[in-house]
Amino acid sequence: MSKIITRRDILKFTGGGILGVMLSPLPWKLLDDSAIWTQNWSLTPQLPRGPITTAFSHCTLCNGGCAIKAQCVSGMPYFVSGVQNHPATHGTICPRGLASHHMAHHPLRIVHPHTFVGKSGESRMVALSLNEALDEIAKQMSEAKGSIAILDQQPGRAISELYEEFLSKIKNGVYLSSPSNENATIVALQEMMDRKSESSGYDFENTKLILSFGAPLLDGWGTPGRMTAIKNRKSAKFIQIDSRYSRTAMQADQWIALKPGTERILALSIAYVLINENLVTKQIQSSAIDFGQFKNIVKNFNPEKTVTVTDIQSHEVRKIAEELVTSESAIVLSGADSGGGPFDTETEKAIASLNLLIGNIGKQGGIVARKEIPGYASPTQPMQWSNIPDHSISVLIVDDADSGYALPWSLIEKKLTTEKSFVVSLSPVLNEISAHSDLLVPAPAHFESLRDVPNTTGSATATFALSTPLLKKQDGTTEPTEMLKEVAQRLNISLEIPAFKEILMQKVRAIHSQKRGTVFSYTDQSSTNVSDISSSDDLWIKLTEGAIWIDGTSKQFHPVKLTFALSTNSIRQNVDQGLQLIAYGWKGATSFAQVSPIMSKVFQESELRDVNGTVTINPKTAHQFGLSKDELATLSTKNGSLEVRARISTSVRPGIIEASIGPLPNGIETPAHPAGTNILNLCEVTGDGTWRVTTANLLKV
Amino acid sequence: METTTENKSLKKYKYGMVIDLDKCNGCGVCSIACAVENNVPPAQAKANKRNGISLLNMHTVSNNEQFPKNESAFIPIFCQQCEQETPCMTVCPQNAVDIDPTTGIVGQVPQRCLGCRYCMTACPYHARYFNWWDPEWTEGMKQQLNPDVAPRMRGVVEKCNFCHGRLHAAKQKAAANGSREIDTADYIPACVESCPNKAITFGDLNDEPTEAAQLSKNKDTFRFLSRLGTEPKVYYHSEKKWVHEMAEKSLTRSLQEEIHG
Repeated sequence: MSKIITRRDILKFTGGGILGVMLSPLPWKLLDDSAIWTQNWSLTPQLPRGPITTAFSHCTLCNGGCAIKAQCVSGMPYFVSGVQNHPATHGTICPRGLASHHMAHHPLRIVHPHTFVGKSGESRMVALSLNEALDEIAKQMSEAKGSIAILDQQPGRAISELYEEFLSKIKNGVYLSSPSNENATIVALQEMMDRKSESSGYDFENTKLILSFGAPLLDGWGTPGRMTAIKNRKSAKFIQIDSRYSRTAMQADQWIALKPGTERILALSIAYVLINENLVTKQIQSSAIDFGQFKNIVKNFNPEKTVTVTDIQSHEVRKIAEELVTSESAIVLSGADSGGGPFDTETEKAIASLNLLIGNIGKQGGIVARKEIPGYASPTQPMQWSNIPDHSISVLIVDDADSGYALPWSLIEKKLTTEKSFVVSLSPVLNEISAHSDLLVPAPAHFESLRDVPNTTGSATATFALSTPLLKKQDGTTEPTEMLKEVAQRLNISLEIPAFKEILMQKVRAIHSQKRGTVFSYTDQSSTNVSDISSSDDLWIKLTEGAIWIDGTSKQFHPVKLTFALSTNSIRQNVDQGLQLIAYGWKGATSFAQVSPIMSKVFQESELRDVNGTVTINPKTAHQFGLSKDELATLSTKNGSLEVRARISTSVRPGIIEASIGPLPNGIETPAHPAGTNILNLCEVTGDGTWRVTTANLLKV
Repeated sequence: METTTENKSLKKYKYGMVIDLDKCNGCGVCSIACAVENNVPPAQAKANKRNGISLLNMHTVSNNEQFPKNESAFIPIFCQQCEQETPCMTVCPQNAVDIDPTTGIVGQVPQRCLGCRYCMTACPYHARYFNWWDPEWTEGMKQQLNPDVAPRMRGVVEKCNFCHGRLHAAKQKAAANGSREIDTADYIPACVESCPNKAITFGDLNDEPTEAAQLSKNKDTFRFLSRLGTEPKVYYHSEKKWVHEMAEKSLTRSLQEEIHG
């Protein structure tokens, strides 16, 4: 009897089959195996193999000069950390330094000279030979009608001396640096004491009170490990005067939240208390040639009157003044936020004058003079941006070193000639400046070449170290010394430039010949007197293997002529009323520099630091403008507008927009748009390079 | 978990951490050190704090007072190394999560992981991360990967494992010296080593004299969501009242939870 196969039978068979397979190990095994197969995808990289070694060097991504220990596989660094017991860094480095070994392999790395072809905004990069690039630089320099400038953001290095020498031999040479200077107070004081060529530093290690006007002391300032160690030792009280709840304000022992743009007024109201309550010694009063004039200016800054401008109560001002004079030692310093821009010259001088009034110059725990590093020339101050006439620079060479602080393109553009200017970038990685350049002549990347690390920011004694290469130099890159030498030859300028290694060996020979100081070696954590090192070659070997030279001698400070040199007695807040925009950033992660792509862990994949285009406002401001968390808004100033994402926090003063100029998220930068200075473009940048407060508006999208 | 005869004869560690929130300044060194040490790839363009991979993720909390009375603190959140009823291990259908009985470390075996993400759902701390994209580094950065840690592939979950690569290296060094016990100085996770403020204390919580064990019993030390009874081995320390009050919210059951379970 034949059995008719019905549709039900087919369905039963199919269902049973599926159930049977499901109950068997087959699907689970396939799923399990699929996970294993994916391991062999070419997209999952093979690990490097080879001998594991340790190497030492120094980070040169900023002026901090931190010592680093690199674990290497087959000679390639894979993990960078601080050097334990280091006298300056105390074993720590910043996040940027921790990922510094990635910089040579940055996605926007360039290794050959390039120029740009096509219209602005649509231009494309075209490679050219080094000779063609050098010929072009020489041609532009010889045809220049305006100044020829070199922007060096880490002045004081051996290459800086060569830049200065080169510029001194050409007509209209201008030596420039970043407008944001961590040593701004020292620079102001040197001018006030007519000791411009004297090297000085902060004796933080012995001070009891640090009064900071906005300096990001605990967020990457100077050598970060040094400041962290002082904070952790609790040897000094930190008072942070800051219009923002910055990372330093957060960690300081006391935060004084003043209105943005009123730092000069607060500094002078502190000076008012010091003078009017007879807290300034007769010696100081008699030694300053314009003390009477200064006193006359300061009399306008009665704290009872300034409170409406600064938002700081008079009793708080008096308390600060009293603490400054009763403290065993104190340092007053100013500083730029990494993205927020420096203070204007008058504000710098007003803040620096407090050091003169409390008499901490040349004293332990105050501002001290340091001897020069043997072999180095006395420092010369780069030209102030305010002293450079607008539209006066025809050729600008931008050195590859970074200060870690923002530098708006609009400021540079203001100084370039309008008709025909020529900008050369030596950066090994495409950045905001290179996007505006006419020619790129990339230098070797970080850790690819030998560099000197002289006096780190604010160090109280002279130091010297070497940043020895950890990576092989890429073919096609050009050492800045080579570029300078070749250009000088083409311009028939007599400039003797030996090989850079020889230049640095001369410095080491000079240090050895003076028998000053000690050398701390990283390999065995030992200190050796230079006088006990038999030859300069031995000293060179120690330094290249990982060591720092520290001067053991001090120097007396001799003010030549003491003058406060203030000219403004206005008590008016120097910003308009209304919504105010304050830019902020994080040292080394502002628009000028690039960071390792791994920094996305703090910028993009967590809420630790804000990416570019994020603004933070107070809930009251958000309510006023109808904005909710993470909503899009249009931020506008008289310079333009930009779409931003709003964050809301009670840590922001009502009426203030805090805007991050951090990096863009990974993967969206291109050679044409390598970084985002869009927020900086909205800021009002003055001729002397300040952009601290800008009147702005917010509109919900 | 069943232990072998070999394991029983070994010293039993209970590795844990105490994080001093008053010392943490949110510098981010720990997050970067963690990513570099553990071969975590940089973010893709579309990645954000929800779908990116930051094994040690920093959260910012505030006392919500108005400017300028506001205060903030940073809370690093990563695998809390639950000791009891470890939620991720309990739910994993693949046995891709295990606890090393000799160290107490909750481990993850990416090769076994199917990417079902049950563990991510189960984790009360949101401390597990899914690889939504293939890991990508530039060619040069591939040569700079940590040779002791295998990169994970797209489609698997990963988490902090107290830098197991460093633990293996310490064990190998001990073995080479003829010892069965590691030198504690040889095993320090990358975040602990790198923290400039020494805010993270790591050690054997079973070893009473160690700083970590002492700190874990300090009156100002607490654990997040400890009411769940999973006995996390990551502790937090703060002397600030508002930080404790914030943490208390995670320690007590809400009224809604009392009603609905």
